[in-house]
Amino acid sequence: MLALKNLQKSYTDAGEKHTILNNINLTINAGDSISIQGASGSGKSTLLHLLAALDKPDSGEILLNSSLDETQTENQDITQFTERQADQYRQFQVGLIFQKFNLIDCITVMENIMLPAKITGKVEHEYIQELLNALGIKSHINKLPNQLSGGEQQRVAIARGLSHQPPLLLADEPTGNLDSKNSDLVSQLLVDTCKQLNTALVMVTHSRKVAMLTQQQWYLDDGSLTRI
Amino acid sequence: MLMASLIIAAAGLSAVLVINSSAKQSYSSEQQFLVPNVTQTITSNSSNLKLTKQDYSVLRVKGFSQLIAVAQTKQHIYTNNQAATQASETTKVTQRRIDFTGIDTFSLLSLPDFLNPVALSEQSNVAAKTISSASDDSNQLIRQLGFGEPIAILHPQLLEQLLGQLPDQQLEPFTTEAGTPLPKFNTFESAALGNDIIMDIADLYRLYPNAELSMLLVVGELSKAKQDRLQESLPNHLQLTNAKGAEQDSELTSSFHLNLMAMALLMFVVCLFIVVNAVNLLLNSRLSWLKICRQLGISRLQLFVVQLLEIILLTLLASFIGVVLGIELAKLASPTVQATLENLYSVEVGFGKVSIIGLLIQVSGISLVGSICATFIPLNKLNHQLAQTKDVPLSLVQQRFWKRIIWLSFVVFAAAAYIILNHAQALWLLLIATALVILSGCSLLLANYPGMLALIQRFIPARFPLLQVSSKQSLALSGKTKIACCAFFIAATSNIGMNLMVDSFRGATVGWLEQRLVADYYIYHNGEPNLSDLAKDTGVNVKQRLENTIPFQGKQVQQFSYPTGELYQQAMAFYDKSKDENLWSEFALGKGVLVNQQFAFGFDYKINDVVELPHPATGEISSYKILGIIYDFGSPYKQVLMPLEMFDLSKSTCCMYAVQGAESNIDLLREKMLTAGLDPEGKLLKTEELLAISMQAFDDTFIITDGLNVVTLLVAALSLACAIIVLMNDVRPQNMLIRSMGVSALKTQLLALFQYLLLCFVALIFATPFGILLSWVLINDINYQAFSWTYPLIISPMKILQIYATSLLVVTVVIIIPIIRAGRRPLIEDIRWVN
Ligand SMILES: Nc1ncnc2c1ncn2[C@@H]1O[C@H](COP(=O)(O)OP(=O)(O)OP(=O)(O)O)[C@@H](O)[C@H]1O
Ligand SMILES: [Mg+2]
Repeated sequence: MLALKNLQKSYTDAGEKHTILNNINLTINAGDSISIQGASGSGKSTLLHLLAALDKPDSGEILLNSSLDETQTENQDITQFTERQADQYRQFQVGLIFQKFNLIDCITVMENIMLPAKITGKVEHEYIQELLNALGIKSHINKLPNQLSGGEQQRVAIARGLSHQPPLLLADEPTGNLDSKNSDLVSQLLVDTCKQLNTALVMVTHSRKVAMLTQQQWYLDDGSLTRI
Repeated sequence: MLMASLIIAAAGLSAVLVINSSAKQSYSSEQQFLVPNVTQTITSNSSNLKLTKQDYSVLRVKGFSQLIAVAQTKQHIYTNNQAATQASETTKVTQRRIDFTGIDTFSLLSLPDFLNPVALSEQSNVAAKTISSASDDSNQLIRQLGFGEPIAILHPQLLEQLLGQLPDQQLEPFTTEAGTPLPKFNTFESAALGNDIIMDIADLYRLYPNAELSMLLVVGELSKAKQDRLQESLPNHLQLTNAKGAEQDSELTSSFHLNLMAMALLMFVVCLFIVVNAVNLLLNSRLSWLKICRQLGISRLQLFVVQLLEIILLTLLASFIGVVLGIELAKLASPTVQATLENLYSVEVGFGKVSIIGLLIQVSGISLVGSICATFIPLNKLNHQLAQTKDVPLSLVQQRFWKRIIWLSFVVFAAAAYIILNHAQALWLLLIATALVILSGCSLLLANYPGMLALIQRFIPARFPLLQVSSKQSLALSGKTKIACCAFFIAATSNIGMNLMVDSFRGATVGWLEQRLVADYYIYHNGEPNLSDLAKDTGVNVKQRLENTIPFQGKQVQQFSYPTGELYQQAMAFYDKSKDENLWSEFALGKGVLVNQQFAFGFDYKINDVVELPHPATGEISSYKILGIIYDFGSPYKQVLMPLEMFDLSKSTCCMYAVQGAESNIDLLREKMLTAGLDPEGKLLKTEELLAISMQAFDDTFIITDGLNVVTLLVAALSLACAIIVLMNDVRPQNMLIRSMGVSALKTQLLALFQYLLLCFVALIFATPFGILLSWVLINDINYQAFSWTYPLIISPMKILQIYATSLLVVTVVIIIPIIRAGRRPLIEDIRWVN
């Protein structure tokens, strides 16, 4: 559903040009689960931001072929999106999960989870129930986020990222803040839930163990992406 | 930001202090009379029979050598045109007329006592010491006037002002309009001079032959016998009053000072709010740096002390700059302030002696205390933040505890305000009660924010999930912006209160004037010829208003005539009246009188009480029943109305005529007036014109109130903006999250705006009843106590809605800048910042 072609991204810092991403090619099909590893500063987050249309590459294209949206039969290049289109894209096609600050702390867990669904107007209670069951957070739905542990919070964040049924979930070190036991557990849940819902997952991680849970493992080094 | 707000606070405070002190000094100086030991004054009590030179000489010939004449005239000062060769070509130097006062120094110096002031003041034993230095000053002054070449004495600051208005520096530049040079100017630093230029009476008459005698001063105590003899020798139109009996005036002054002080305090408090926020901002930006300091092993106490020291230094610096600015501001503002004050309170503002050092100590002391208090809250918070690594939300028990405290303070404030309002008479207590009312409103608002916001949330349809979230976020915000919300609440309350008051006053005045002014035309004319005689065979109905001034319980009271005709009966606007059907017939028969509120409240009379008053024609004292209490807005005088028929034209003054008749007949009157040498255009005023003139004067006066309102609102909004800037970092992750869900930047900006406006809206809702209460207190307690008159409170929903709109608009304008700035940032920056 997404095809990255010859992506190039660089930053100029103090007159020097640093190429972060160099000639990246990657195809993401519906339901794929992909992990991206790499050293700190290698450009993993940058790549993810490009996928979320948060940032623009210097050159190259990201073609979107939305199997869910019947009105768009042709491929769209998300790097050419206007801000409005990018907003629409994030609203309907993408779920985003960060390392921290994934929840709004003045509303309950349930309200947090429902928010993206309500924004897009795709509220399906059965689907949400399924999500809650899969992630094992049913007993927490009326609590406030700061009454949950870190692991529970990230599980809620996964539910929030998936509640509007996006075809693609992007996660930037979703378990980076958790201890390794919790990290393994939450990552397992993440991968399993995506599989169950047939959502494509692109996850950035530092942990080899977590990366092994996904179908494909990629490694980003010196601007180029290689599969391992 | 911190500096700016401190400077503004100090400048405002010192400006008000300067104006205040100069007003106070010139006020007391008016009673000080320049000439020492004035015990009594003789003035004219009728407006067409003036005090004349002849009266003076007759009285002196009769042996009253202690009488000293004072003449006054208001004149512009001119200067010779340098270009022109003729001396007669002059240009005006002054923008407003200057008071010239002439004193009969020759007579004064010939008083045997005068050269020996100690002997004089022996009689007034206790006050002697305090007076002596002041009277020494004046003695010296009068000796300067009396001997040698003619001079004029004025305050150095007035001279400075005059010189400042000259086109070019000249040696002896000032002249009269005709080009006669004024006497040599000598400056003399005494507050008693006020804004006047003093010279010998002979010099004054030489320069301004039209100057009028304003009063005769009685210098030194008169023996009882002599006083009685003087009383007898006085012609009818003159009256003797005690110089120290100006009680009414001092009441007015104290209320005026309170007003100024309240203004200064309001300004200061509001600035403190800004200081709190500014300090918050400062500390917030330093938080990470301070945390590093902590990690380096510097103790919290040390950091605390360093921060406090810095703020104290800043405050001192700011108050120094503020004082300098404030004095300049006071100088700049003084012409306008003078004009307004003269209109509002008939106070003449002169030049006070301002000691910069004293002022500096005063202002910096107050600001220091203020800013330390203001700093304490954020510093304390910082202290906590540094002590803990993580923000721990208040536990439920703590929350409940705070909630109770807030409710308790509401109850305490409200009860205190209630008790004071019901029992206190002193004006300053009433003002404190007003402040307490506002404070109780603040507590009520804080206690009810959650409930109110929850209520509003229920009304947001499920279709707008973001709005629902936003309204919940505003609840969290309200906890973090308590101070700003309170500032806004105070501003809104005082805004509503003041506006309703002014509005009611305006409405009442318009209604009252429209009711009272029933005649077609009014003529303001004083003296010969009498217009009722003139109008006799024109077919125009002319009713004159005759005036006397009578003593009543030791005070001066106006005794006015009122026509008894049907039309005029309907025109009367009563505050309260006798239930008696025969009210008007009793009035017409001279059995009862109508009094204004000033009279009734001032002397504590009610309907049907009996008062002893002199007959307007014969002066015979008899009893009259109070039939009605009438509105008399804005007048400082106590007044009694009696039927026109009881008055005797030859004994009373007449300044105003009510004219009624067909337009053709009025034209006849116009012709008659012309032939009598009167200007019908200038004197004959159509009622609508009169109304327009009155309202114009009214609106001009209240521009100040409007200005003050906008300033307080702006300051409150600024404080809100400060809070927002501080909070921006707190809400950044949340905004990032919402935007990452595909909500557009514009929408998030609007949501942020919505949150703050919601907070303000709730504050406004709470401010409304308190604003109404405030205006009620202002009208029925403060105005009642200060001026002895009230008017009905008009609550106009339109006005309140208008205030809602303007305050929300002001808030929007101020907070939109930080919000837009936050919204402009690309989302990716936020995401990188957060993670
Ligand atoms: N706005 C920017 N301006 C300049 N350089 C940037 C900018 N954003 C990112 N970079 C640089 O791009 C490089 C890649 O950053 P990125 O955040 O993608 O790394 P990462 O692989 O996610 O690292 P980490 O594992 O630490 O999260 C870094 O060297 C960073 O300094
Ligand atoms: Mg990263």
